[in-house]
This record gives sequence, C-alpha cells and structure tokens, in this order.
Amino acid sequence: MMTIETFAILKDYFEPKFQINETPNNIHQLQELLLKLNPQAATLLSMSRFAVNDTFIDQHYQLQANDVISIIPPSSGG
Amino acid sequence: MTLLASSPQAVEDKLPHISANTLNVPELLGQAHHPQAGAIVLFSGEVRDSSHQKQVAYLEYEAQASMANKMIAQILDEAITKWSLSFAVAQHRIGKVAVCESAVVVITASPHRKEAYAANRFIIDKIKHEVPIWKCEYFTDGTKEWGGNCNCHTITGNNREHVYEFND
Repeated sequence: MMTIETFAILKDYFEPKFQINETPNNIHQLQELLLKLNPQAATLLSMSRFAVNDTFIDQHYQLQANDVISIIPPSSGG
Repeated sequence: MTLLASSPQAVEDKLPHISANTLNVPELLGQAHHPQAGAIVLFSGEVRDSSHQKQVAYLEYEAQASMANKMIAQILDEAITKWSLSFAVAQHRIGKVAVCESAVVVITASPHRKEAYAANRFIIDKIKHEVPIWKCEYFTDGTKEWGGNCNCHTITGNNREHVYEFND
C-alpha cells in the first residue's frame, strides 16, 4: 500500500497521513486519484510538488507500491 | 483509504537546522566567530504583531522536517562554496512561535562584509522559497490563515522556478 503524507494547507483537504490501496504509476495518476477523494483540492494539487524518500520526483518517476509520498504545497517559511 | 495515527512531530538531534525549541541566537552567533572572518552578518526572521490588518496572536510553523533539514544543509554548502565563507549556519523553528520571537536565523561569516551580506541574503531567500516549511498565522480574533505562500509560479509559470531578492 502506498502511504501519502500531506502538509500545511493540504491538511484542510486530506488527512495528514493515509494509505491508498491503488498503485498509481506516476504523479499524474496519483493526482487523478487524489482529485477523486477531494475535487476541491484541484488548484492546490496543481501547485504542489511530490517527494519520495525526501527527494522531489518528476512526472517520469515510476511510483512503487510501498512508496511514502510527501505532497509539498508551496512554501511559506521564514 | 486507511487513516494512520499521526503523532506529534518529533525532531531529533540529527536535524540541526530544524528546532522545536526557542532558537538560541546568542549561542549561534558565538559559534560564528572565526579568525579569518572580519565580517559576520546575522539575520533573524521575527514574528510581527500584525498581518493582513489583523492582530497576530502567534504563528505556528510546520515542516517536512527531514527534507527541510537536508535542503537547508545543501543551501548552506552551496553558499559556503560560492562565497568562500568562513562559517555559515541556519536554523528554522517549527511549532508555536510568539510575537518578537525568532522564527529563522541565518548567520554568515567571511573575511569581508560583501560576501557575508550576499551569502546571507541568498540563504534566507532560498529557505523561504524552496524549503518545505509553512507558517500558519493565528490572529487574536480567533481566525487563522496559512500565510504568505510562495506564488512565484504565477510569474515564472513553473512551480520549481522562483523570483529571488538576491542577485547572482
């Protein structure tokens, strides 16, 4: 099962940490799946980046069944 | 979908750039003195008492801590190399931060002030735009707002490209 971690304002749309039974192949498929869970998160998801093992991944990254994926909305530190 | 229990964010000693406790600014400054450094620049990002025309009660910072720590370390390494710094350190708070408290500290030391200033600005800009740390403003009227999100993508058209204050 894939584990998803969300942060900051994304937690107003999704649980902070949850698992999905499906195994999307890439970020695009994962985004579609997340949109089904909460269509209102569309704009925010399109602005967010995705990371696996503390490293940002791109659209070509092949997601694995046991990946822990961090969804990173735009930063506002400092 | 299975929900997992969320535990309070544990920050361990191995994350030196992220702190759940009050930043010890004098101690950090004390570490910066260096026989080859004629200049030390200290930036402290502090919590203001007003924002969006409202009274701020406090801020709360959240981070993807392990990732943020790693990225700050990389930014410091980049700055040390680029400006041949004698010393550089950066620490960012997470959790509740009160008005007048320091949320982030960046200290740079170099033989002359030009490099220390330039490197300091580079480091804080990169931290603000790129590192996964978020602030939530809590106001005295009971409302809250996830604040100041980087919206550079509206200018650059790409959420990986940012508009910085520093000049390369």
